[in-house]
Formats: sequence, C-alpha cells, structure tokens
Amino acid sequence: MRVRFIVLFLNIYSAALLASNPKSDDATPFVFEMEYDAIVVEETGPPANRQVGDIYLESETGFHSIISSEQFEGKITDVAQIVAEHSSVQIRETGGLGGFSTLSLRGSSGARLPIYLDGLLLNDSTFGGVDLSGLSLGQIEQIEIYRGIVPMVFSQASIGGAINIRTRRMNKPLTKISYGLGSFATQKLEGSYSSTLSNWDYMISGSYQQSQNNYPYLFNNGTQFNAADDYRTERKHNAFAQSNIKLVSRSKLSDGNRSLISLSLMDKRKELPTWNNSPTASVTLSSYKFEGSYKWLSAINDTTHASLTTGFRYHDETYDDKNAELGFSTRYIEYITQRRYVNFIVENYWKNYIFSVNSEIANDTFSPTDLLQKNKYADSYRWSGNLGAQMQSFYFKDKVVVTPAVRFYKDISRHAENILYDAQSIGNQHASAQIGLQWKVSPTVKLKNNYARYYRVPTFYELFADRGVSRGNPDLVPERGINIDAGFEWGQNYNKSNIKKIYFSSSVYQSNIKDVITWIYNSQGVGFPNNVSESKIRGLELDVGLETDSFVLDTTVNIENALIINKASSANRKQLPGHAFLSTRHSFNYNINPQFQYKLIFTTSIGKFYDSANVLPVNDQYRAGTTITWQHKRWRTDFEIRNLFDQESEDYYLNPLPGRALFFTLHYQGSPHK
Amino acid sequence: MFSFRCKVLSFKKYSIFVIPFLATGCIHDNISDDGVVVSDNVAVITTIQADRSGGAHALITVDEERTVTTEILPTNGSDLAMSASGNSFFRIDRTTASIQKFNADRPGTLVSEFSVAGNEEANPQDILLLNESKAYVFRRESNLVWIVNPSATVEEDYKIGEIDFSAYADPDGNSEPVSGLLVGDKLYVVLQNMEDQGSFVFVPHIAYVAVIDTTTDQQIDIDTLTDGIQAITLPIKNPYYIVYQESLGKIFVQAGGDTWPALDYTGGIAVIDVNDYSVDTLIDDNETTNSISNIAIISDTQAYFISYKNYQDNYLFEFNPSNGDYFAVSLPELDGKDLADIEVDIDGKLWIASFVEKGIYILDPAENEIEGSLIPTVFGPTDIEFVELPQTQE
Repeated sequence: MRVRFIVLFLNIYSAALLASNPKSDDATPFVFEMEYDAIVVEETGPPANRQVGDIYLESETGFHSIISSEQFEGKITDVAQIVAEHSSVQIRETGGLGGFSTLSLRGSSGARLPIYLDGLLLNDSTFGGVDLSGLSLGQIEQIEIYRGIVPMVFSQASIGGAINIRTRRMNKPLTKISYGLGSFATQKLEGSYSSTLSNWDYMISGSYQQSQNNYPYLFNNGTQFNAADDYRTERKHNAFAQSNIKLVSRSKLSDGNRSLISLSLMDKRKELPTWNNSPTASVTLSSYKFEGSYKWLSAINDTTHASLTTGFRYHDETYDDKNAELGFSTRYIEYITQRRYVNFIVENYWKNYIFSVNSEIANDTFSPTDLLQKNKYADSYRWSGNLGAQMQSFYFKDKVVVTPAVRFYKDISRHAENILYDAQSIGNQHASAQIGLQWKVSPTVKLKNNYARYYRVPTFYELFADRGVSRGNPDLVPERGINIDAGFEWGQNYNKSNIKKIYFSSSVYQSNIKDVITWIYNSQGVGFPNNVSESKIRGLELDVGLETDSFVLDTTVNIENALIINKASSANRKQLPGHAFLSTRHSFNYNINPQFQYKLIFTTSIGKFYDSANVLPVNDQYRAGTTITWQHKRWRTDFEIRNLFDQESEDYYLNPLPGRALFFTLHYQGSPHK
Repeated sequence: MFSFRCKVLSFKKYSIFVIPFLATGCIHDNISDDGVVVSDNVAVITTIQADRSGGAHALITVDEERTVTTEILPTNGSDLAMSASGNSFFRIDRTTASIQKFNADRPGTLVSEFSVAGNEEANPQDILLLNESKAYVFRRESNLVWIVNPSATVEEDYKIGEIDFSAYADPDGNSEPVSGLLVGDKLYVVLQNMEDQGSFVFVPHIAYVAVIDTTTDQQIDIDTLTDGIQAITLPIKNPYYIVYQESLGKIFVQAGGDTWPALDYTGGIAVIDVNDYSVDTLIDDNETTNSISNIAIISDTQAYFISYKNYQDNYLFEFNPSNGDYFAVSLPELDGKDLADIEVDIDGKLWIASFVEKGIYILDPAENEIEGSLIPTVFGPTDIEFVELPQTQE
C-alpha cells in the first residue's frame, strides 16, 4: 500500500512540475506514429478498420510498444531477435537461426511470459514456452508488446506483461516476394499473394529458410579455465531448415457479418550441436505444426460487436538422440501437443464506456511416445475456461481513462497412470483483478498507473514429468503475484522546424511473486519442482526519442533488479539467472536521400549471471548492427551487418552465439491488382 | 598457537579480501598462499547449486575448528566429483569431461586443467594416482581407461596411454570402467556394465573387476586354468565404490543393483581376497538395506554404507566387514535425507554429505552420534575427499 501511495504521489508531483512549464506555441497534441488515431467514443461504435479484440492503444493504460512489419519485412531473422532489437525485452539464445531462445519481459520469461497469436495463446500447456523461431516473419503485420498489465482481451495475465503477434490482414490485393542470402550459408525465400475470388478475399503466403549456422567461434575444449587448449573452429551440426505456408480467406456474410478462415502449416528441422562440437553429432529436433481457425465477426448492432473463433492446433515434435550425445541415455521421443478452443468476445460501446467480455474454453492434450519402446508414457489433458470482463471508462472529455477488469479461470488437468503416479486429476480456479489509470494531464503528457494480480498454473511437465531426470509434482499450486507500475509519457510535435517530434517516457515497476515453482535437484541429478521461492522484481524503463526530417534517434534503457527470495537457498536475494541488470538499445535511422536509408542499432546487456548464486557472471554484451536500404519504385534491397564488432558471447554456457554476419535481401512488391 | 573457531568463509577471487576478514576476529594458524584457511589435513568437497546452474568446491579443515571455505573457483559445471591423492586433489567435471588439478597448499588455485573426452562422450568418474607422473582416469561412457601424466603442463603431454576393456562390453558397446583401486602394484578396475537401453532405462549386466599390472598396464589373468584372460566376476550388479582394508587383505565393492522404476535387489557388497582373487557376497541387498550406495571403512569390524530407499530418502547403516552383520544407524539428522557421500578422515571420524541441507555432518563411530551441528557448505555437497598438505606446511 505504501509503495502505491508513493508512486501515485510521484506521478502527481511530476505532472504538476511538467504542467507548470510554459508550452511552445508550436506544441500540438502528440500522437505516437505507430498507434491508432485517438478513438472517438460515439454511440455509433468503433472505427471501421478495427477487428473485435484489437486494443485501443491510445487509451491503453499499460505501457506498450509496437513493432511494425516495415521494420523487419523480409529480414533473415526471427521474431525473438526482432523483439529484442526493437524493445526493452531481453533475449537469451542458444545460438544461430532457428535455435531455441527465451524472451524476458520485466522479469518474466518462458512459461511465465504469455505470447499470443492474434489474441490466442501460443504457450503450450506441456512445457509452457513458445518456439518463436517457428513463426514466419512474412506472415506478421506487427508485434505488440504490453509491459506489466495485460489487456483483458488476452486470456492470461502475467507478472511482466504479454506479447501479441498480429498476422497480416488483407487490406488490398497485393503481391510480395523477397529473397535473401547471407553468412553461414543462410538463405530465405518469402512471398505472398492476395486477391479476390467471388465473395472471398484471400491471401496465400509462404516462406522457406535454411542456414548451416556454421559460424566460427573459440571453443574451450571443455576446459573452462585452461585457455591454452582453446581453438577456433566452426559450429558443427547446427543447421536448420523451415517451411511455412499460410492461407487466409475473408468473406462478407451479410451486412455487419464477416468470416475469416485461416490455415497454416509449419515444418522445421533443426540439428542440435553437442557441447564438444562433435562433427559426427546426430541429434535432431523435427517439428511439424498444423493450425486452423474460423472466425465470425459480427456487428450485432451499432453499439455492440462480437467475434466467435473456433480453432485447433496440432504440433508434432520428434527429438532424436539415439546415440546419447546430449544426455547420458539414448532418447527418441515424439511429442504431440494439441489444442482446441472456442473464443468469444463481445464489445459494447455506450456513451463514455466500452464494456467488453472475453470468454474462452480450451482443451489441451499432450501425448508423448517413446519411439524406442522402452517406456510407456502417459498422456495429459487439460480443460480450461477463461472469463474476463472489462469496463473502460472515459472521463473529463477523455482525459482520464479508468480500466478495471477481472478474469476468472478454472481448469481440470488429468494424467493417465504412469510409472511414477497413479492416474491423477487436479483442478485449479482463481479470480484475478486489475485496474489501470491513464490521465492526459496536458496535450503532451500522459500519466499511467496500473495494478494487476497474476496466477500461473503449473504446466503438465511440472505436474506429471515421469522420465529420466525429471519427476513431476502433482501437489504444486499456482504461482501468484501482483505487479504495479507507474510512469508518464511526454511527446511534442514541432511542425515548423527540422525537428518533427521529441518524446520521452519513463516507468517504474515492481512485481512480487509467491509460490514460484522451482526445480530442485537431488545429489544424483534428479529434479523435482516445488513451490519454494518468491521473486521480487523492480525496474525502471526509460525511452527517449528524437525525429527530424532526416533521421530518427531512439534510446531505450531498462534497469531491472530481479531477485529470488528463498532463505533456505544459496540463491536467496540473488538475481535471477539469465536476466541482465542493465539493458539498453540505441537506434539511429538516417534517410540519406529518398532512396537510401541507413540504420544503426546498438544494444548492451550488462550484469547477467549464468547461475542462481550469482558467482558465474556472463560477459557483458555490446552488439551493434547496421543496415543500408536502397529503395527504387517497387524494389528494395537491404544490406545488413549483424554483430558489427564480432563480439563472441554465450547466453547459455557452451552455446556460443554467432559473431559478425552479413545478409543481403532483395524485395519486390507488386502494384495493387484486382 | 591459540586458534579461534571461525565462521564460514566465502572464497573470493581476490583472496586478499579474506585477510582483513580474518583480522577482524578470526585467527587461524594456517593460511594458504591463496588465502584459504587450511590445516595439516583438509577435506575437499565438490558442491552443486540446488538448481544445477553451477558448482564449486569447498574446503573444511580437519581439526577442532572445522573452518569452512566455500564457493572456491565456481564453475558452470554442475556434475562434479572429487578425487585426492598425496598432496593434490582433482575436481572432475563430468559434463565437459575435464579434470582440474589443485595442490593442497593452494586449494583455490588451479594448477592445470585438461580434457579427458577424446572423441567420446567419456563422462569421467574418477582419477587415481599411481605416482606424480602417472594416473588412471575412469570414464563411464567408454571402454577405455586413460593413462595420464597428472604433472603435465601442456595437453600434448597429458595422455600417455589407455587400457581397453571392450572385451567386457555390454550390449550398448561400453563396459563402463567407472572406478578403480590401487593395491601395491596392481590396479583393480570396476567394470560396471549398465546397459543403456534408451529412454533412461538402464539394465545391469554381469559386472567385473579387472586386475591390471601397473608396471606393464596389462591385464592379469586371475584364472589361468581358463582360456583367455579372465577378470573377477562379481556376484552383484551395478557396482561402483571399491575400497581396500589392508589389515583384512580384502577389497570391498559396493553395488546398487537396479533402482528404476523400483529396487530389484541385485546389488549388495562383495568382498575380494587380494591373495587369490576369490569373491563372495558379504551383504546381499534386500528390503531392509534397500539399494546400497557408498561405503566407508573404519576398521576391520566397523564400516558404513548409505541405504538408498527413494528419491531424497536415504539412511545410514553400519556393517561389520569381517562377517557382514549390519544395522541401521538411526539418527534424526540423517534419516530420510539426501545423503550424497560418506568418507573417513584421518581421525577415524565419518564425514557425511547431506546434499539438500547443504552441509556436512561428522559422526563419531565410537558412539554413532553426530558431533556438533551441520557444517554449512552453501551449495549441496556431493563428494568428499581428504588430502594432506606437504610436510613443510606447519
């Protein structure tokens, strides 16, 4: 309570200080470039270019940022890299294109960071994480990052926020194609075609990318302290290939009613290198994903809009380590994860309120199969239901927005009998509330304050693991916590000078989490999860930018103190492993002339540790990347250098990251056609 | 000189900071050149963080003070073992198959580190010194025992030979030479033969102890009446620890049997007569002993083993090496805990590593009682060894 009072006081004080400064005659109300226009709440409902479930960013009380497709279109990279390069989100990678990586947002990562695709949760119930490298950038329109409070339209809250990946919507018939190649035998081909057929608008997109990922690095020969036997070599058995195809179709059913059908396929194969970089390594991870959904959008009346979505996701992964190269036993396992869901959202606009309800029922199944036929693994199932309600209220001519919301969650998880446990049935239910406040103190200043409760139910793996060195714990309870943040955004346009706009935002946040699920290992290396820890995360985010006629300069700074609280542990009051204390991002975009653009990005990651006791520091990372873009009519070429200073580093021990890399991409965008 | 009992010390990279700490109220006779409090004999212990995100080693003086220095030379490796011989000790990183050498008079300073992987997964388990220039490295995922020069200063001089036990391999192709023992000029090598059938299913096969002449590094035929070169066939499965009681002229081999998904009671303790290589079962494991892991011998009539019942559910048993009688040593500090290792110090006390509690208990065998309280090691202890300082250190 005391913290919230202090935060509120600081907000008021800061606002008063800023409001007391004389305004320039040229100052105009500030609008962030990437956001929607300010909504006009009328009884006639929302803007026509919006889908039910989209966030009204201008009135969103939480701190957020948007990365539009223009910033990554055609690039040879993946979603995780894009997010880390363009925001304060931290990344932890295993190395190379297509490799596993983890994003961390305000201290939450992995299973604790929900990632959505068009508003539908991607995190699976089995391990909780998301393989972002499996998404095709060509199918993405924008990436939305919500820090702290999670808008109610997303089914799960989180301590750190959420990421929503919005796929392309058909705006006009168009053809796009791009081809790129680069270091480490990397290639990418991507294209999309959209048109109209009778009453249907449709879009087909596809991509193929591959890389040998055979980047050079200094291998320590397994001797951490003896540099004399280190030698430079190429990363071996790290190749990757991935194909993505998507078909989206839209039709008008009647006045005010539309339907959307979406089908997508992903096929990926990744070689997994061993710690000793063996040239004869043979471990692979193959992944096949098939998804489909049907969405019905309806303007029920002038003030009420709804969407009903039903869909499925089928994901088949096969892990092949038949020579026991990445563990002490041979493994050849197939994991099939399926999700079926129905989601219903309704929004009602009435005078100064937008009332919305989001409900979802989902069924998740996890079916592992030991292809060596040595074990019979049991299947897991979960039925879950979410119900959320939000009332966004506007006061004082929309200067003040208050957004209270509540979520109700209930699930039941079942696990068939396995070698360790009898058949189990476990249920969870909880309600979590949140409230956000936004106050437009002046045309250039917004104050924001948010408070939210959070729950995370254990994954199937945490509950029911029954293989090798992992044993599940059916007695686990959900993690729970609260997060609070406060800050301000200031921005000013200058229409009569070379300077177009200046903006500055700052926020402080704190999250407290209890019953943190932590894997504890015995002396023989067998792990067992328990609700033993707490976490306290405090941080400061700063973002400052300057845009002129010829260049844009932006700097983001994030200082974060993410602590483990566990008096019985050597990690007590130590920083969460893999989380940087200080991370910064600086970007400089310069329009040399209407055809040439130069871009420089510089990121730092400082004060990170490999381990919980913080005795094993990760080398500070300083990375720069540059891109030169040439645009002529419908053609565009990008020449990019990544890791300009060729810094060698490891986010995970013995998983080196690539050094300097060069990429060249050629894009073509056709003229709109009928 | 008068000595105070000291608090637990955390070894820092810059050991000079330790000195002011000592000066503020903790005076000890012996401080190593790198700032670690030592005694004539010390316990060196590998320690692992609870979430397996890293490890280190700790040192405890074997004297009244029991001064502890922890977090010595932290490492990303989280599967560590310790071996000691003479005035040196070796920290074995099983994850990346490397062996790090330290000298007892500078226990925080690395002398050398070499890889013992070769072109295999290797998974080194132990190193046994014959002398300062010859040692044997035992490697689980292999048929080969490496012969190395522990005093080498460059990698090219480290490996000087190997002994091949592929003739004893189980169906997974490895004989798993996991440990060894020197008795005179003979090396006794435990060939574990736990077949990896995949998916963490390990099936125990007939296990052996091979006898090697250390002057030639050739196997000694223990049964000249049978064609071929024979090793000692063990009557127990999944062996690991091997210890020698000279006064009895007997070697004791511990075996855990199969423990997954349940205990199958094919293990126990076997005894080998070094005079004629005859072997017999001293203790056959059962529902009372559970799976037997780790053994430590106090005298001809008193020894101990750890009884593994289930995950983090272990117990301490005493047994008589002369006749195999055994009973549970029931103590609240030990019952149902994750007991990782037991070793005997030069004073005949039994040191017990309690992993989850992150510390060491010391048992007085005369009374079967714990002396004092848990000695904290900050990280979980997994492997205890004792090493002597060179005679010039006083």
